[in-house]
Amino acid sequence: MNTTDLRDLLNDRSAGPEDTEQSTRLAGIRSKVAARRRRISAALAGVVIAGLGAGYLVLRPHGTEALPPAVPTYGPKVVDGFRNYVDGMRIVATTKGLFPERSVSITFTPSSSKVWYSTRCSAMVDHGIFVDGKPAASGGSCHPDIEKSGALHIARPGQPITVTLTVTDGIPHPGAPHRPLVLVPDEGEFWLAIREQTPLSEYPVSPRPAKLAPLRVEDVTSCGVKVRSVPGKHNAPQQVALTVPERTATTGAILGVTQTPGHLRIMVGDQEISQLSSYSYATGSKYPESGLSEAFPWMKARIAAGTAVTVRIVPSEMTGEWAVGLNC
Amino acid sequence: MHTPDGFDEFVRTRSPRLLRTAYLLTRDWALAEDLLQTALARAWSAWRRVSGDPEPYVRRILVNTYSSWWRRRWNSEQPTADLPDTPAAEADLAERERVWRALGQLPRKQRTVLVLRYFEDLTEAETADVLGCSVGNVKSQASRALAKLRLDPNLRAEGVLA
Repeated sequence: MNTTDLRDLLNDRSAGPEDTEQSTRLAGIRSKVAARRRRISAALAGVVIAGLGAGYLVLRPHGTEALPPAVPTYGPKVVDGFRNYVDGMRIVATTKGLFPERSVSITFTPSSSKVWYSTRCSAMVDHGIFVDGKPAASGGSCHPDIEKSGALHIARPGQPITVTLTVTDGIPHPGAPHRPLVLVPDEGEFWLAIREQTPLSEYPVSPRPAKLAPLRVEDVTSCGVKVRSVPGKHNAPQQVALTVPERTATTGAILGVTQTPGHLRIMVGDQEISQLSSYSYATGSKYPESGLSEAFPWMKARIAAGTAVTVRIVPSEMTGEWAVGLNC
Repeated sequence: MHTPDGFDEFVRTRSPRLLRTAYLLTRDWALAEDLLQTALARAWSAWRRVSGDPEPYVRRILVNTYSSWWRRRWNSEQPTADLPDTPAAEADLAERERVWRALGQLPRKQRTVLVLRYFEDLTEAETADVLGCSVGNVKSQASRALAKLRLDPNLRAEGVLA
């Protein structure tokens, strides 16, 4: 074999599965851009606060005793190798399995419908997630260095459920024909973590800035209906009538922006079809908690395209302005 | 969220090829998609400042992101300095399979050099530009990598012409 053959090999091996639909990829990129903006804003806020703190320490009158911090205490930043607080979620349980075992389970009672799982394995085996014995997620390959996470569909909050992580040999399949063969080893470990949505009062939210950033209303919709809070009445519900759009890969998304932490429940009648939650003062887009893969929450709510509905936005814990885009 | 002019078109036309590059670096399609989207999201922010063809710029972000990913993660791959001897039981494995596996065991910089040189067909100077290193460094990395893959009988494992 020579370098010409190497070119052929690289070409053949990378001619993998059918490429992702471009609209799906663009949606993923937008999600990452929004998340990146949130992180940058939070980091800038942190720098400013740290600078102010350092300035105070330098300039404060000598002999003044420092007051104890007025911030509440939170859990550790990392639990069993998993980040404890992520996007408003917090670890509520973890468990570890030892190869050559093939599964581990966690039984717990979800307090709401917002439950996520995360996995990590010391070998890149395939894995799947089951809830009460039924397949809930096909995790693909499990990684030693990357948390794989996903939302779990919780039909009845308040009822105990058992989440099981099962590992299997990693083998090539139609979706990953060139996946390297990785048999379940005799040694090593695999982890399952469960995260639940955390009340704002128990989440380490960055301090409120002295001046809130302007609301980025243009972020919430490219086509469709915008709903905004009434100035000074941030927790007053708003409503709008619309026709449920046809579904394509990128339409029908419900997006929101907020100046402050808080929740926005998107209701049709008594049914909550989505919830946008913010745990920061960054003003980038807030995607539905259900994630971009369910950017069309109408389908999840079983509301057919073409149906005329009145949508109510019910805010809570908001201390600043917000806007929601109901995209066509 | 306003999409920068030309970004959608770039993603539509160029991302399939960049995904293949990402796969050759990560050897996992899901990771490759994540890497590509991360690189494109970073490029988004600077899109208006990019003059000319944005592909080299995006490729550079992709390669740098790949490097920093694996640097940062505590339990990342541990490339071996030398390939293990081929066990007798695997002696009949196809040569291409052997090389593919060996490619996966290369240190990430050597693998990146080979992907850029032999998949992206970049020159040594272009590869050096993407990696932010000298042309000499690209040459030595490529030589060592090819020697480890045993593709060139004139090269010893140290990457020196025999």
